[in-house]
Amino acid sequence: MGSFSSYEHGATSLMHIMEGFLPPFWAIFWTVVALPVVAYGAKRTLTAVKTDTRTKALIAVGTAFVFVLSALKLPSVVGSSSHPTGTGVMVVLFGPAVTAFAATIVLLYQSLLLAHGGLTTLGANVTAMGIVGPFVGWAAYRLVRTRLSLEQATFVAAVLTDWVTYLTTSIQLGLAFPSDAGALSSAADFAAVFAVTQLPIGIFEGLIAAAMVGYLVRVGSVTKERLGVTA
Amino acid sequence: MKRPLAVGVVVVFAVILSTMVVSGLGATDEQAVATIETKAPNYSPWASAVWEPPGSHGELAFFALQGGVAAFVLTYYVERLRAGTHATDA
Repeated sequence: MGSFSSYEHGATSLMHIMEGFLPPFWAIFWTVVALPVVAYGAKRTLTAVKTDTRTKALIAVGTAFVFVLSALKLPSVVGSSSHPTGTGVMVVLFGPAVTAFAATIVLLYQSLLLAHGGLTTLGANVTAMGIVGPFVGWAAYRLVRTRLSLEQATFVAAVLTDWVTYLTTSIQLGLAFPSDAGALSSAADFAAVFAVTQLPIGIFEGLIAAAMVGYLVRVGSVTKERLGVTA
Repeated sequence: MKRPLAVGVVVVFAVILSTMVVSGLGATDEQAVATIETKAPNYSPWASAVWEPPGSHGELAFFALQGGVAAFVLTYYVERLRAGTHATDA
């Protein structure tokens, strides 16, 4: 237990919602929301891994990409800094369920070894970074993939995945800490805090993800059928 | 093995460099915590991290480790895929 002042060091670690920073009701609520999706994602991942060695290797590549990008702390044009989520490539290659499982592994590592995020807030962070963000990115990808090039569609998916992740975190914090004007107004306040930094970082993340997926296709590591591109 | 190792080392330095570059900038994290503090000044976090890396250098080391090992794994598997040592895609 502690007050805000005693969390001075931890406060700099709110890449995700940090340990103890959601009231117990919301911590349990988001855990209950995340659990079935992560369990389903784990099942899908295990099935995919057993499919063939190429799929197994691609899952390793996608998960490693999340680890790499989420380790980077990037400056924004507005003089602040934040982290990319790195989930865009996984979303395009495997969809939201497998991404949820991969994001859970990354978030668990950061909770236990970096004190970024936390076990009590793991459900909320997984819901934002592993479920809602990737699902919206995946839906957008499916919507635009026939109209745009593969790289452009991946860019859209990755950008939206990043932005929606932080928007979801804003809503979670707004619900947990509503202002006098209500939870929505409070969520808008949190979104405004994240937006100034995350909008340009999301675009950067989209460019990197598009380059990565384009590269994997060019070197023959992934077929266009997997990417839902028939032409 | 040479290329995965080289990429891993490059990413380790990239993580360190990126952290150094942003060290003077205000993190959105801090601003979000300040917003919570404004909205709920009496809120006390009811749990704390089970373990924290020692100091800012410890944290940086774990982030660099995360990035470096992941970059090694990523490059290793991309190399294997490029070499065509795997079966056809599902």
